[in-house]
Amino acid sequence: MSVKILFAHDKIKSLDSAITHLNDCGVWPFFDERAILFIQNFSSTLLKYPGINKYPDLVALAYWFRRSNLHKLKQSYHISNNFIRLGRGISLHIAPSNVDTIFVYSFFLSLLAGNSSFIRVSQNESPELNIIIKIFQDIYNSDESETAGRFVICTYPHENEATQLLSNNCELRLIWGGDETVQTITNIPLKPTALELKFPNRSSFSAIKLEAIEVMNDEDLAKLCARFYSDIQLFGQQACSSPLALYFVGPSSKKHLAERFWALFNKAAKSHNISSSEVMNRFVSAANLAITSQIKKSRSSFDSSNVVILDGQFSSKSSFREEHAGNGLLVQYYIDELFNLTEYIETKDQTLSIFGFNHEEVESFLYSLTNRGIDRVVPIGQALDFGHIWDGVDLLDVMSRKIDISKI
Amino acid sequence: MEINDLNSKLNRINLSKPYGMDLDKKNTFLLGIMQDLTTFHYENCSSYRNFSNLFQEFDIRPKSLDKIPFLPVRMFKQHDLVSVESDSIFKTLTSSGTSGQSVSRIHLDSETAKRQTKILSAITKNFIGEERLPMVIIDSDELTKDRTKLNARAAGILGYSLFGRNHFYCLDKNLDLLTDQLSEFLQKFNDRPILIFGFTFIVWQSLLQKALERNIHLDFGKDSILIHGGGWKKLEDQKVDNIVFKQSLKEHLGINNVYNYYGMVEQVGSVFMECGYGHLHCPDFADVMIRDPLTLEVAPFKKEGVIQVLSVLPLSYPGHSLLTEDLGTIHGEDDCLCGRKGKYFTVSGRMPMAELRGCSDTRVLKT
Repeated sequence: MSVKILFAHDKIKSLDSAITHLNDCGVWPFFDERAILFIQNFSSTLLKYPGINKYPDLVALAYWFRRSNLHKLKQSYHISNNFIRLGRGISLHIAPSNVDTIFVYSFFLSLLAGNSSFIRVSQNESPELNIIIKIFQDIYNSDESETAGRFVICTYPHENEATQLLSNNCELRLIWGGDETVQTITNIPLKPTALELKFPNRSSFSAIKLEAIEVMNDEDLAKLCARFYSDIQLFGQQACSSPLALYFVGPSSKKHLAERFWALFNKAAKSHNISSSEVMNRFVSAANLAITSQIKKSRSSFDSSNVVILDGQFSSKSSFREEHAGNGLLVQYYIDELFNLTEYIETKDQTLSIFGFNHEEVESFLYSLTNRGIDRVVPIGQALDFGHIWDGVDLLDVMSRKIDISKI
Repeated sequence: MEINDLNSKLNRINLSKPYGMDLDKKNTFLLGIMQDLTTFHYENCSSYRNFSNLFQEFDIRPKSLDKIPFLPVRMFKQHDLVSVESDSIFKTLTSSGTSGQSVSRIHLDSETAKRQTKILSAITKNFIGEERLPMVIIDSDELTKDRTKLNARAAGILGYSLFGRNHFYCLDKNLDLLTDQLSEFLQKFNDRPILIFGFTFIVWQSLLQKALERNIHLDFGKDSILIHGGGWKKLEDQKVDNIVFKQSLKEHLGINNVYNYYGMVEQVGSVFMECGYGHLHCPDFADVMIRDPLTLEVAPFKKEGVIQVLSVLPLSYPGHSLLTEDLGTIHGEDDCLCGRKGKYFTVSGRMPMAELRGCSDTRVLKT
């Protein structure tokens, strides 16, 4: 079995011994102090790691698990005499191939929930993954092996029987990946008591209230543009929560305000740069959108230094989601009111990043939705941030068990 | 733009000297036809009309060749693009994609198909002469049995078959060399030149390598002519380039005249033939432009970039101006030592595939 162990307790030499060991680790209580300390240790070591600023996703990871955030997270789950929370057992994490940090969020939360973890990462090597593994190794060596022994990080080809073996032995399986990966792995049976969380392909977009930018000065609007650009630029605009389209919301008399937005946006995006094959993919993607009548025209040339803006057209398909290649491609629409967006929401829609709408407006928009689309509404600039509530699921809540003692 | 007017205009193109026009003459001639074709496809193909909206300065009669929209060749894999009534389509060509890959679908009406044959003939005869030579096809005759649905390989074989006689398909259906029959054929025609046609990789693998493996001596005769095309990708993997290819065929099979062509199923007929100086030539009926892969703007001569191909042929489908995913370099125009007018160029390979990033590992654009 071509399983490569990247990180594990010394006694683990094989898959079987990994399963035995992880079972022996047992379940821990919710937010066990040992788990919190370990994660804090990792976070502060990572933040001090030489050259860390080259990797914004690692900085974001370290920052997310900093002490104060962990504390806040713990506080958000209130303690009650009616139940106690414990872990479920072994959790199996199937990480996506291209966002190197997702697996850490996934199994750290599982650790906090009280579980032990087996993680399958992609076979692509990356400097980010190497740094993460090195820090785990260092912490393990400096005799913090009790918590560090609660997880095993491996890599192996997808078709490997390791997933089968682990699936037969875990209590929780999390699949991060594309629709195909999710489908393939879902077909592998779990223990009857096990639970599964699936994170398939999703699509995301943004909405800006035109009246809100009308009153902004250039400086503030430029800041908004910079935040919007950073959401697009991260991960080549190919993450599930990367905005693919932008809806300008307001009466048609305010449409001209979008021009001011784009003028400042182009300045914010002036360092945009993609490779020649990305230029080609993006052009092909725009051609597909045009041929299928989803866009009316292009407002930009396809130069690698441009973010290409296409004028969208509400068609029965209205599915910029499928043909979209990312890499700096945006479809823009005008709508009178946020409510009008309701009929275009599809079940795979995940993040709506917004500017200019207040809490009540967002709430009443969400109450008007009729399908399972939209799992997250965040301000523009935070589209790519991780959250412990993901795809509509409170991860810590589901990863742990609530044991009812209210009648005792 | 009426289809009948355009058909008769295209049928009047003088085919007698396929490499006769110099820069000025060709620009006037080609631009006129390209304007007509652009207008025609714009008016008759809604997909093309929609596509043209991506070009900010689009004009239905573009003022110069570089202003003609360039449709990515991948579009023929993802959409059925047609500019004539569907009942006039009588033949659909497909690219020879391996299983699992999606293939291009090119829909032809009879007028377009007839002109493809005529233009291929004008180009080919410029290289091999008027006489129909005994012909060896380095492929299996299984491939061409259903003539209403042809893949690119079969279409190429049928297209070039017209230039030969006494056709002999020298491979069986498993692409294994029919050694004895081939030796017999060569014996029978050993007093005159033979025309040989095949796909580059198949010529290399199933003819040359097989002959060497079995240690059999095959001599095609020094005046024989090989025409081959279909791309170098598989040979590049084996570190075989055009020079090694030609040298090996000369040394082991006695073939001195080896002509590569660059062509694609999306523009069957107007192929770019390689001359004795190793240059691919644009005939009067076709042209290439090189675009900077980062800006998609026209690049100067001598600079490598993405190849755009123009052809007067595509009328039943909007394929008169296409952006390929091949890389190439134009070396000059009208002054190749072989004497042919027009641009001459070389192809250096395929564009690298884009790496996909993001949180979903299978979010791949359908190709």
